[in-house]
Amino acid sequence: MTRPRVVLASCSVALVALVVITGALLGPEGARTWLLVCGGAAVFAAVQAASSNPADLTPTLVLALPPVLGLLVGGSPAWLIGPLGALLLAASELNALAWECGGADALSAAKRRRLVDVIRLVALGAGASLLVGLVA
Amino acid sequence: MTAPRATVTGSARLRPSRDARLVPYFLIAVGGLAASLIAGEPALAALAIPFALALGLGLRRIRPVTVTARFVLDTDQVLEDDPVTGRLELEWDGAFEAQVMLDRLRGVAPLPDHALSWSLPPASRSFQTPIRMRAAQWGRHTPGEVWLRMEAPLGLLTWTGKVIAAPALRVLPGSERLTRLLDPAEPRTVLGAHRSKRIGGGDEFAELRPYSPGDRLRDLNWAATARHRRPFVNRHHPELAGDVVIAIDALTDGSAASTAVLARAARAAWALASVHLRANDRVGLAGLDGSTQWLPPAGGRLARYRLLETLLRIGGDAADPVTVRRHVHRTAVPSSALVIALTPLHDKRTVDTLLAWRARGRSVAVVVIETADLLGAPASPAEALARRVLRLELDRRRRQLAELGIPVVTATAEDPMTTIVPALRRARRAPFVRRRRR
Repeated sequence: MTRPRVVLASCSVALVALVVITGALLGPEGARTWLLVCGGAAVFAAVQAASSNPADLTPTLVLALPPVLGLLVGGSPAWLIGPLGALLLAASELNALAWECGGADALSAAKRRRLVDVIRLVALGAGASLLVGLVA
Repeated sequence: MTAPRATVTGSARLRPSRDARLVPYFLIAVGGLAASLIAGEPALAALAIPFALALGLGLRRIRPVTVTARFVLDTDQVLEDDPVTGRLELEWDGAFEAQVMLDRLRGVAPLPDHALSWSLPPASRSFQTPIRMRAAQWGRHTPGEVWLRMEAPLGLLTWTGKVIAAPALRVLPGSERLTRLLDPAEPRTVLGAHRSKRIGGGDEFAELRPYSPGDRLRDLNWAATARHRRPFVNRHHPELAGDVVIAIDALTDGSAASTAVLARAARAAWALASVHLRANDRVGLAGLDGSTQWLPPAGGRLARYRLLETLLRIGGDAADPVTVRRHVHRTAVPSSALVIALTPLHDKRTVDTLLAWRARGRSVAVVVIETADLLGAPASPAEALARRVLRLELDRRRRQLAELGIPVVTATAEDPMTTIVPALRRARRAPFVRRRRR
């Protein structure tokens, strides 16, 4: 794998790991084991999606939802659900971008633009969802 | 060489195809919002918002895109190794980030400093570029196809498809060789003068027989008459224009070496066809392998143009990877025709085809296109051994042909004419080829 692809794929997996660990640790204590199992499976699926075709992050998104939605229960910080969702979106986009880089040794101008678009979109989404979460 | 411009215009309607991310994004966005409304939980809506934003950005346009295209080549006819220049113009309804690619090159090769794929910035609505390539292989080709890929933001939807094919291009063999072939230095005394099996008026002696009333006095053979003490007359073979079928082994694996082999075969074929046509022979052409082209023997100026066209089509077939490969030994080669096969003998099926023709009573002569010089020095002992094995196999195939009375000669790269013509002279052993005049 070329360097841009490795970097983007690693970021994607790291974001998924960050989301599920955050969700599992801040979620309800009683279900933490199951949430960690789901989170581990989500990370495994993210690694699979980053390393082998078909590059489909759907299983990752599905498996990452329980730790995120666990924040709805009890006294967990539910306002974090929106930002964590934005990070999942970022992970999915970075994974797609990693595959589109192919064998290129450097990010092309188009891919750099796309990366900037993704960062903007995630920032906007995180901000909007944070606002909704906090206001509500 | 100048030729008129070749232009193709067309349009294509590209339908969108969705990325794998679209469905999960849609489910999370819609499901999150619906669940938020049903459960009265705003945090679920917060989860859906980033995905909904992505969908809103990526699905701003979902309709098919209509693309109009114009592909102009400055000439429809070039010589081998000449530059092929032209212009490509594309226009579509909408503003997209797009990639244009000139793909499936046939008969032409890209120039090292000239790209054949282009990335366009976002919000592009049209594209124009000059085209520069090199004519790499003789034949009649469609030099390439223009493919367009347009992306919605984030790449959630893409519109991809072939927009237009380049105009047909005729690539003729190299100028120096072609000039030589059109005006061959070889004498015409051997080629194109085939002896008829019948006996009648002509110049070549056939037999002696006793005089019978009606014979011309000028045919009296005085020496035989004196020896036998009764009149004897000479009989002659009439000289008629013969049929010659040139069969080209057009099987190629796309490598530079096989392309060079094909080019050598084409030059030899054109040389043979030219000299035979000048000798009033009727000349036909067949793709022996790798091409299904077949031109029955014909003579005259029109036949010359048809031969060239068929030769170019054979070259086009060879360069086209999707051409159906089949053998042509069932082609109705006239029984009186001399078949001259131009082949490197790399395919055993070619040998089988030639043997089958011979078994059916055709006069066959084989010109083996030498390929050893195209390989360069072996890179390893294993490769050297492989070449020895190949050489032995080729020798075996030559012997196999020779055992059935098929003359086999080798055409080298230096000057094929000097080897092909003697090969035809040796073909006199075959029943339909006249002996050389003394």
